Amino acid sequence: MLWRVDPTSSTPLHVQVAACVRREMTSGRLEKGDRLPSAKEVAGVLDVNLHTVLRAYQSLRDEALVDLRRGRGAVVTATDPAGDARLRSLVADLVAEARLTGTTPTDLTRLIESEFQK
Amino acid sequence: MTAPAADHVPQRSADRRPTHALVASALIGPILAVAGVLLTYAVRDQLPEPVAVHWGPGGQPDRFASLTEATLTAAVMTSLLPLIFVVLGAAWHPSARGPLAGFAGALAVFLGGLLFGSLVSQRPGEVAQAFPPAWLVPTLVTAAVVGVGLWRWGRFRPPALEATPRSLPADAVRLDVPDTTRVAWTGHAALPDVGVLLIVLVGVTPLVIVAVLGMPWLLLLAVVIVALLVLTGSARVVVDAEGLRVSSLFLTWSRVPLARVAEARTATVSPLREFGGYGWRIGRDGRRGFITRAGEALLVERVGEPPVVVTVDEADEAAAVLNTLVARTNT
Repeated sequence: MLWRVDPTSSTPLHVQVAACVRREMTSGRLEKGDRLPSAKEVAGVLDVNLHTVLRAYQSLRDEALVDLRRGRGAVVTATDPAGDARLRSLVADLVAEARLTGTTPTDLTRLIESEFQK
Repeated sequence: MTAPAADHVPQRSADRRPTHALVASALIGPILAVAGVLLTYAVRDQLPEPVAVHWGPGGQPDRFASLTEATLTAAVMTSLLPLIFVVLGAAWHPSARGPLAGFAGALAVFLGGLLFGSLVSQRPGEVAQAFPPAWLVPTLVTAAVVGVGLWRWGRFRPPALEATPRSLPADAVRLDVPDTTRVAWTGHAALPDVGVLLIVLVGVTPLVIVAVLGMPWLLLLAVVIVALLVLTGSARVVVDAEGLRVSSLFLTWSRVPLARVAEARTATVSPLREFGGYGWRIGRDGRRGFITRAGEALLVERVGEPPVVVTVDEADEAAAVLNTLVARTNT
């Protein structure tokens, strides 16, 4: 699975790590029963603190998306990030897209607001 | 006209050690065969005629041959069987020579030790059996030392990287992310559970049956085989700022630093045709592969070395991540 975090972003790193997992879930690449890589491994490949990844995994557990068990690691229990979680994942994508097209946060906010007024 | 001298040096002649190791491994069998024949000849008066050449599961000899015939068979098997791997090594890419030389050398020691060992152990006062205890451990240890030694001696040293930065082909798949984004990819390659179960049943059942019939130490062999299968049947695949890494537990099959990656792309793999089987393989062109199924695979072209192939799902994504990381080191 693809992992991507931007340390220069104002979004906290643990939110970005959790978003990577949610993205895999919404795209159907992670299925129920799949095991996530160990937090240590993810911390290693992304060169982030172990606690950052653990925090991301804990927030996924709080959303009932994964099951955290000592010795077994994180196991996917649901693949449909709902409500707030799904929204956060979409916003992460939106912001990533905005960066690519050079859209400023102000422009993006304006776009969102105009969408609300429709 | 002054042409640069370096152009005239063929790249292959840079390191002859893989070939030397292969030649050495070819000589071990015949040398041991001669030593074995001399040893058998020296003790011929103490050996029975005919001698036992095969032992049943209960440890009782069940096949006999004349001493001359048995000695000749032992000598021919010790000299010729390892040559199969030497011939493969000569025909394949130089990078395959080290591992094949190690295998051929270890096989020669194993055959020589056990075939001649079981012959000369039929002297009065010694324990005569297929694997005489006095010969078994020294033979296995020597085989391991010779095998690892030849492998290390003959291992392929890739040519030094040029100082000039290489550039990734323009059409190489890449991720569309800003340079400030850290990217990585994790995945795994695993033999299907059904396949592992089948191999365990077909391979281990006869061992267990024979073990129950009276050779309990074979149970240990069965356990070792199952453990090896579980260990080598699946691997973790990681792409990060250090490059590509393929590993199972504490064993690292392959490590390709970013500087050695020429290009990553997807490929379609046919396990039997290209690699002759499953697991960690060497192809005839020297390509390394961790192959667990047919179909989509990540193929990493290396600088000055044959490629590495791993059967993973979403290989296109893995290739894009690796290319993106390589492109960053080039700038």
